[in-house]
Amino acid sequence: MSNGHKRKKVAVMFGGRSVEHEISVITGLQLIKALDPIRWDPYPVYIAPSGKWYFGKKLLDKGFYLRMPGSLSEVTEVTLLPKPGVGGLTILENPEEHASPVIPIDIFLPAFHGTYGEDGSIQGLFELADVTYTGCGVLGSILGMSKYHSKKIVEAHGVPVLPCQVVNRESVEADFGKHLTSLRDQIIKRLGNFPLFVKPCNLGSSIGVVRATCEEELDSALLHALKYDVSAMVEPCLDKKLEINVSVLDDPQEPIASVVEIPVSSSGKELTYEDKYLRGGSKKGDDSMQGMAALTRVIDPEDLDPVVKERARSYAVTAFKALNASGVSRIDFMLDTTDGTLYFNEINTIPGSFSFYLWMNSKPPVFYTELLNRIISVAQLKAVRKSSVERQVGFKALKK
Amino acid sequence: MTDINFALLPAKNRTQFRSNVPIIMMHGWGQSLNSMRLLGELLSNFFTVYILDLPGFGKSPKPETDWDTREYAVGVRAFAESKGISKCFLIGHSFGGRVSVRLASMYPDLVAGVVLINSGGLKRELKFPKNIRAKSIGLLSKSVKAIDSMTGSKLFQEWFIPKFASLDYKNAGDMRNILVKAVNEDLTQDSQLIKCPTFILWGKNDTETPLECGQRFHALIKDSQFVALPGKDHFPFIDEGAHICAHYIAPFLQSVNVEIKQEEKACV
Repeated sequence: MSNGHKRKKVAVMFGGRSVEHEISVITGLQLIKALDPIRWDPYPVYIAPSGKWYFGKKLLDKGFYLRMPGSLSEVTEVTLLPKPGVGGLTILENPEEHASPVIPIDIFLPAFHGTYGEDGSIQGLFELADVTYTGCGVLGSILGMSKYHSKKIVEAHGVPVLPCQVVNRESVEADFGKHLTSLRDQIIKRLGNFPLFVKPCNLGSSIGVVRATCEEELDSALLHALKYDVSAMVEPCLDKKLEINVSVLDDPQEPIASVVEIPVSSSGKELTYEDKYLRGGSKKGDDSMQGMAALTRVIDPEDLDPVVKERARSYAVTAFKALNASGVSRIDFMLDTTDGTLYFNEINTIPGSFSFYLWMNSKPPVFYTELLNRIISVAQLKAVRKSSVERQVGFKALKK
Repeated sequence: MTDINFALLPAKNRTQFRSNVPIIMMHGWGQSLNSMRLLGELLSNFFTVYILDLPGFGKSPKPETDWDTREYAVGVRAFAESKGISKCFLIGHSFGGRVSVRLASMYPDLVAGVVLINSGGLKRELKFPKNIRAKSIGLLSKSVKAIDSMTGSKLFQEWFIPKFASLDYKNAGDMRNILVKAVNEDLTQDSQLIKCPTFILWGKNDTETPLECGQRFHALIKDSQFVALPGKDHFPFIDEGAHICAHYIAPFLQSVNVEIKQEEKACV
């Protein structure tokens, strides 16, 4: 077997200005370990909480992050300039000490979760720089990040969603003196009685999510959610429900859905950030698993109605396409076990651990290495298609 | 027969391809079946997998005598027989690779295919000045032992080992004689006797069994396939690296055209 062909340089980007920063570091480091080293040459790129970008092999060591900020002096500050044709990452720190001021990169692979990395911001920069990048474009990222807008679009494509009420920070600030009374009345009128779910509109990993069982709890839940976001969303809470997740993978022909999973919370209630990222390692005593891969879950549960499984997979593909998603996503549903209705809950356009644990258990199985090969190949194909789009018509109007 | 502890991962019914030839996986020195569990789980999508604790490691008791790798091969064959396995694939890492090479050369009817991952078995080619240093240490070891036997001193134990011995040797405990036997073996001839399809997977940055050992195995084993993984070390299958190894190993094993006939069907 030949090992001789030239490997493509892949900038694996993680960290970022997000409350999910740490989870992104785990996703990024896991991903680099699984990336096929015969085809791809991984370049770790870390965006610190300050927003500064760094490059260096030391970023591969988990201990690096525990030694911050001192360890940042051991890596090179870089950036991506928003202009086409640069060919990679521009070195900001003492560029004269390097053989070239630019580190060549063929493909950018964002592994961020949450704000600025999964919400279209960095995708916008990739577009300006005209580079090949994996996953959703600007539109898919923005739609995916907004729980409200994604629900509205998915609903328009025939997938059931629960009703919801968006509360903006300014309305709460304006109403604060009246103890949120009118706002609360509006919410209850629209959504029915307690309990209600309150969550930040543009955030993942269950951060800021609270179940409110009375008026006082609703007030504090709104304030809590608005600590993390400028808008919060309130939804009714189903009495008897089951969370069902499915991953969808882009394909040149038609996106494909993974097996379904039922994540298991420690309390028997809603999943928390602790359930998702801190409990971990419960699977057969293997404490090497981290991030979403370590969550306790039942994959492809035998006792779940096959009709429900197929419906979840079909809805997931519909949602993926409707939201203009690309790469790999995880789509979360809520099953009302009293009447069997399956509700779209949210899409994660850069899911924790890239949902590889679902793909390795799918039929047929897709190992993480192959999953990443496919994601990168689709990105390359899209870049070729995009390169044929005409962007300039020359100066005509000004000459008139 | 020595008891061998093992993990059995039955083939999952997740794909149209489902072989009835099982895989026996063998770990490296100082490791246990747990080191190969994730790789085994991934491969169990297609194959029934037995991951062994080789005798003297993990939960398997030490052999009653100090075995060489031929005796390990005999022990693993007895294990296969006890499970009704008439044909199998082998995956061996490092020390487990040595045992795999022995098994494939000694029992060609049992072994349908071999995967060697950063396998031991070939003497490292040391260049100047490392070869001079290795020879000097060997000579010194013999001299120190001779002094100890003549004077009753404990120079070898108290001075030589802490100063010159490898980490494996220091940690070997009552497995030390087995380790010494293993590292002094050269499996060049056994490698040449392997006739079954063989896949050699190697972490390029390995410092324990360097890349040139893998390249020599490739040259010695007829029609073998060789893949060197850039950036990976002696343990390319650790953590998510298991997905890379499975990505290369599974298609190779699937390509081996072998099926156990009904009358000799294994317990898989």
